[in-house]
Amino acid sequence: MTEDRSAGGRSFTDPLSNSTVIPSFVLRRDLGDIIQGRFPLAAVTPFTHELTHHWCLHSPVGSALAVVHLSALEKLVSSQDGADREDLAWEVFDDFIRFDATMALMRSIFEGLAMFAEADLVPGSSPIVSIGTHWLARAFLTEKNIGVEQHRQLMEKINRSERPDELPELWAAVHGLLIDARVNRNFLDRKESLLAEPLGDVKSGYLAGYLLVKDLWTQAVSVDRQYHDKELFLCVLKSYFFDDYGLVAHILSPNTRDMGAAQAIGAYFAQRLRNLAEHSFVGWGEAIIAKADVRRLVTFESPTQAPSFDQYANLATPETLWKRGIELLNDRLRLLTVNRASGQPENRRSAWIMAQREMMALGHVTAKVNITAKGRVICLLDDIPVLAGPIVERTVDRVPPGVYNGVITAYLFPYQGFRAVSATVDGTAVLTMYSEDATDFMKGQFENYLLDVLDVQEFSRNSREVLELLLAEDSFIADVLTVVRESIDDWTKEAIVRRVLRFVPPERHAAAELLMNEAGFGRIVGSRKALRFLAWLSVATSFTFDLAAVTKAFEQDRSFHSQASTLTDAVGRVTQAGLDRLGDPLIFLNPAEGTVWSAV
Amino acid sequence: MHRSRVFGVTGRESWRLDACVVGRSMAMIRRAARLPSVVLLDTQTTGLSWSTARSWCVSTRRVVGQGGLVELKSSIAAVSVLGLSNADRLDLPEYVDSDSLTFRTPENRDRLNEPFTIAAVIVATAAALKGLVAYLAARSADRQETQIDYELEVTRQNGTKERHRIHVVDKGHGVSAELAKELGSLSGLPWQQLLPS
Repeated sequence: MTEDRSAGGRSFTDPLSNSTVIPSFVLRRDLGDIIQGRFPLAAVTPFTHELTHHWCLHSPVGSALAVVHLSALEKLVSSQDGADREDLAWEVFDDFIRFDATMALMRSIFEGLAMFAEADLVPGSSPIVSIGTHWLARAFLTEKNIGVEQHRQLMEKINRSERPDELPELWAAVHGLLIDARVNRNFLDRKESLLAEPLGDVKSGYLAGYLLVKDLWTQAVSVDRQYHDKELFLCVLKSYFFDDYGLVAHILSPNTRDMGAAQAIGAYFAQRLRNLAEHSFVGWGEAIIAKADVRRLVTFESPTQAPSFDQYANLATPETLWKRGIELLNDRLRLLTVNRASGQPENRRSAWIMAQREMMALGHVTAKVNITAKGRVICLLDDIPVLAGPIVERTVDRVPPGVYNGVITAYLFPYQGFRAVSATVDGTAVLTMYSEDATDFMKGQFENYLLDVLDVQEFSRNSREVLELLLAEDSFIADVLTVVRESIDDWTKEAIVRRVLRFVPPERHAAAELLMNEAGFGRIVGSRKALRFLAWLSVATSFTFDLAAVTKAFEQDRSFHSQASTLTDAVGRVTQAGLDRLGDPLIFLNPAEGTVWSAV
Repeated sequence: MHRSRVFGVTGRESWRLDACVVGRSMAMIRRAARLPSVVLLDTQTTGLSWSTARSWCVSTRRVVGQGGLVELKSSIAAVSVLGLSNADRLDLPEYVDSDSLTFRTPENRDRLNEPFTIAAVIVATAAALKGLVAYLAARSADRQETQIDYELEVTRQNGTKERHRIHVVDKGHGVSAELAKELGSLSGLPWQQLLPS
């Protein structure tokens, strides 16, 4: 009996391995389509969310985080029996706290960007698109939803690598795809849940992060109208936080230790957030476009595969700090490569985990793997052959002919532009398949990767547990870790929540925060029905501010938003509740100009 | 009033209380009715026979006194309904007393999760479970669902946890009875007690 391990549960991205789980990809059902480059429509929004996380982690900051996490692990693994546990704990703690503190500080940004990509992003007019939208065009537009002829023409254009701003018909098709993906009951449930999240729940961070990113977007638009293109805005904001070698310099700094390192990282990040108001996005769009490989529709290449540190635009980081960050990351990546050559299994694993952070697991399924005496591999799901091919040459001697329980995994290489499928037996790849765009170099690289995604995720989870257990042995370290975590949570509540509620008049602030901390906008608008409407309007106005178009959609979508009244009445109820409790209408309806817009 | 082998007293049943009395004599029933936190079950409405009720109470170790006084308590400590939305924070408190209800959001510390699912943790008293049945039934009706699936995490009295999946199909009469049976089976409480009023 085969079991589809990708079915059910929540999507997530592991920040160490950058490995993803997206249950909407059900390999038992979708494997054939994925191999052909057709991804399931049901996966559009979770895929965009997780790919945005992947994109943020596949960056200088993401690489630095993985480096310090792996460093903590290597210190633990390579410690000798009888080594002083206290010394070891402090050594490990020095690395671990850098990872832990940075992740906690950036959680709202991580989630805010992913939510913005999932719920608001639409293709715009600038010459670049985000990586998520790139793959919506490449893998989710199919003959089924846009017709055979249009699909053929668009794919030809993409393959000729025309610039995004030269492909209006492509983005019109993606726009339609996004409407299908967002204007439905399931997505409205998701948006409604987002808007009802307690604002102060910083351990989750979705609503606070989402409102922060939307707030920054309105700020950017007010400064420069080119940021009406949300794709450009997303690329800029992602780069500002995650391609920042200034933050890398603090994460990897040899001049700070444990709690001091956490404090330095925290102070830098807080300053960086404050600086956004001062620097105001001016000129950043042009800087990002200048660095992007617009001919390939992507914004950057892998930093771990072939380090090319000048590929990122420096957005207001002091030059010396920027250069220091490049040096430090370069040194640490070089060290990983040297260690890999030492032959120690732990070092080799660390090096590969670092390298394979560029690939994204779409889904996996257990299967029967039959290896014949002639070196053929046949994979069966419920006794039906689904994959077959010659055995991977380098593993011929390691896995003799026979029938095994194995795992089929589908991967996407978002930044190199190809897909791959592997079948593994006990973690050893016995069969690999690629989309036609994979180079021989990448094929060779892929076969070296750790291709049992569950094994990689288990390693990641276990390693974190082992590190936390070691740190918990020392009560002083445990206390310091608790203090740092609580301080960061308090700072996030203070800095981010204060920022997103800054429009609330001071006399109403305490009451508003109390209501928002209970159930987000749910208690503000007063009822589930009103919340549903706010969620719907937020989705509708992600596509257009045109009042006539939104009014038409309101009539069409009554079964989703469940409002019996007119659009004007529904808007009136929400704006009144918003004004009463927050001093802000939440929705801006301007019949004279024919516009409607939701700030949330 | 039932004249013999009385399992409870009509008109005094209150789902807000979380214990019950099985009694044979009216004196005992009257005495028990004055106790706090006591539910007096009615054999007619529950449909249970005296012997079934008594053996059920004894087998689930709810005897708290001699002479037929039996405390009816759930065999489990709490039920967590997984996969709910933050929007459920708005309406669920109208059905389940706030003392019996907390919401649990998965932490986002070790990995970046997909949002939108939270768990409602409900103390497994008859009153709270009855409220939960009513809420899930109303939720299902509101969403025009003809069948519902929930993953539950049951916390035993000793703290151990187990996952259960409940699947209920609406055969045209709503889903309350089926939900009550499922939760009754998990908690050891008579399912009739869990039916919404």
